[in-house]
Amino acid sequence: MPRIANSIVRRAYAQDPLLPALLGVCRDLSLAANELRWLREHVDELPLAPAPRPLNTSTRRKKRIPNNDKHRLRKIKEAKLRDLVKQRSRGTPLQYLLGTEFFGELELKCGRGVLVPRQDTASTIAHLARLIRDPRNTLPNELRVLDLCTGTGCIPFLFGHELRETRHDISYRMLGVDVSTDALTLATKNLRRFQRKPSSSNLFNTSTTEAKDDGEREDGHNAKGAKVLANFMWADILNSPFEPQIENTPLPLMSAMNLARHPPFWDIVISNPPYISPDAYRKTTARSVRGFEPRLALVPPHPSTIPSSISTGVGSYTTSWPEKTIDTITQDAGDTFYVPILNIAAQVEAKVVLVEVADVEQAVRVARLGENFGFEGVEIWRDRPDDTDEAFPSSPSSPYPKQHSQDSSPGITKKRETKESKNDIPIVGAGNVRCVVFWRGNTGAAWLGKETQNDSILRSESHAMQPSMSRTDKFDGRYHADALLLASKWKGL
Amino acid sequence: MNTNPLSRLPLRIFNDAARRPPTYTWRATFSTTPSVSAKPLPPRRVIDDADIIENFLKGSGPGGQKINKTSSAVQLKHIPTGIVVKCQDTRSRTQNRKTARKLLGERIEELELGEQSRTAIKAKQKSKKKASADKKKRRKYRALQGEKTAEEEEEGEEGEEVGVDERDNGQIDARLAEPGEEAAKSIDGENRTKPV
Repeated sequence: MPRIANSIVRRAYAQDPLLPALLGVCRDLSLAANELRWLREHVDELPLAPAPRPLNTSTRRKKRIPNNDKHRLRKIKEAKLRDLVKQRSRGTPLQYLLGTEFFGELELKCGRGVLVPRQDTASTIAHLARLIRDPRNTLPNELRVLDLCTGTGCIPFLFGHELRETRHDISYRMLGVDVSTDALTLATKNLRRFQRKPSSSNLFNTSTTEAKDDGEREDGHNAKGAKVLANFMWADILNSPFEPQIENTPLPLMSAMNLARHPPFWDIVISNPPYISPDAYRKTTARSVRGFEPRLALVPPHPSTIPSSISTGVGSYTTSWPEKTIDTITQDAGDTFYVPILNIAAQVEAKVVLVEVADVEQAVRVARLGENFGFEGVEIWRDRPDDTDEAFPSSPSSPYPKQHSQDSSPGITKKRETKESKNDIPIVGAGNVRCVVFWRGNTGAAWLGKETQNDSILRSESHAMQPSMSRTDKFDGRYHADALLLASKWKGL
Repeated sequence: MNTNPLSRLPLRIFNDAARRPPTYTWRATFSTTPSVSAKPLPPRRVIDDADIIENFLKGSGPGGQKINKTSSAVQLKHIPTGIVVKCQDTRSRTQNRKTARKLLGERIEELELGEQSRTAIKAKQKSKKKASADKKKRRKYRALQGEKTAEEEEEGEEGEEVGVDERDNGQIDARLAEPGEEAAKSIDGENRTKPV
């Protein structure tokens, strides 16, 4: 990291004596000034009060002391501000110090032990909501959204909020799932907060009975608009129902859902799982992330430590999954969560799936998984999917740097690289690659504003049936071979 | 002696009651209809999104979970005019985007309409108000000053007093609004010409 020039430090000091301390974290004078301003505003709003003055007014001398409460309050605030600046200069995320973070249009509580919601996530979630809330879309009476690894609950809240902007005709059911009890506590706090706010008091509900009541009332006056039923649940995506369960650990997702009597089918599955490999965690994460945000939310456990039926997806849903392929796909330690998530998405019959990823390479690896779980369409989204900037061409060929040494066998790496430039996983938007979107069937395609996939399905089917492998398609070569094998078996039967 | 049983209650009860937020019942004094000015301002300029390059001004490198950004700055560039606007007031990027668009609209309008733009009209109205307020202020102090000097002069000689009375109020006002010495001079001057 380059040193901060002395002149900048001096200029910062001239602006405010507290500023130089923040320069180390912010690396930028204007950002540091902003952070200091936000901290100061926060301190000003804190319900700080000076310690009560001694009530002993019996002696006349004490009475004559001027009332200096204002002065004392100022002193207390200064001390508090200095303390916050000190903590910030040591790397504590600003959001933990202020207690809130903005996620799209919403202000959410956040706290230590739970990942701070990222702005990049907000922009992709908002974009997905904008696509789905299109008035031309035919949505079910109750749109169900399942959010895995929910954290602060930011995704269900923002998604519900955005959908409700234009679609009042249907109701929404959101379920956030997390393995961390800290996260669930915070998510529930956020839910209560939204319920308390007068503007959105009728937005989020928790219990089913309440929703029913509201629904009945709604018939009377529809103007009030659709309800969002939000719930949070303690469950573990990586836990297999076929393994012995340990006490005081979260249940597998499906079991927990069944136990809590949540519906088994969900229309949209969204997830921002931990996706940083231990190696990348050590090398590429920011100091304040590594030092202060929970590792649980960032680094997935190694695939070998979880039940193989979960890590490979074999046996639970896709029985025809070729086990060899999965080994090569999940060899990156950061990809542990994607197979289980897609597996769950397939089980709950999701029409649209959105998962966040770290970079292009991971996006391509994840995008490849989709076909094996029955998802017909896939797209890679950048930070701002709605932005079509010339600076970031949407053709996938140029933003690929080199393929990296993380794949063990160079042969496969090369093969993939060439395929990447040839195949057409569309990359949409501007900025860094941020998430992968899958859809299934005509419903999913229509919701995302795609052409109904009848033609392309036909096309891909015809490809799968073609014995010649002349045109490289989305499908892996090996998968192709398997499909052909299956097809021939079918014919034989 | 106080026999009221309530007075024996601990003070805390009353304190708790006092801590509760007050309920306001005088809402009716507020009016929800906006005050309409005589000349309505021109409508806000709506900028086509296609004309804007939006930049979120963040460092390059990895994003997502790997770093925890606090910068929510938004920079807008209007392609036809080349105007660049930056906004980083709040921690909410959504809010900053709105503010930046508003600022950009104002800047473009200033460029296009000049004197007729919203901001120019508003500034003019403001300066007008300020000027009239200043005028009033000056007039007031002039009047006070005038009274004082008049009293002093009354004590001294009586001739001038008559002269002041002869003039109509409007003139006095106009003169009092002028800077001090000039007004005094003109009074002297007129007094000199009057007898002739």
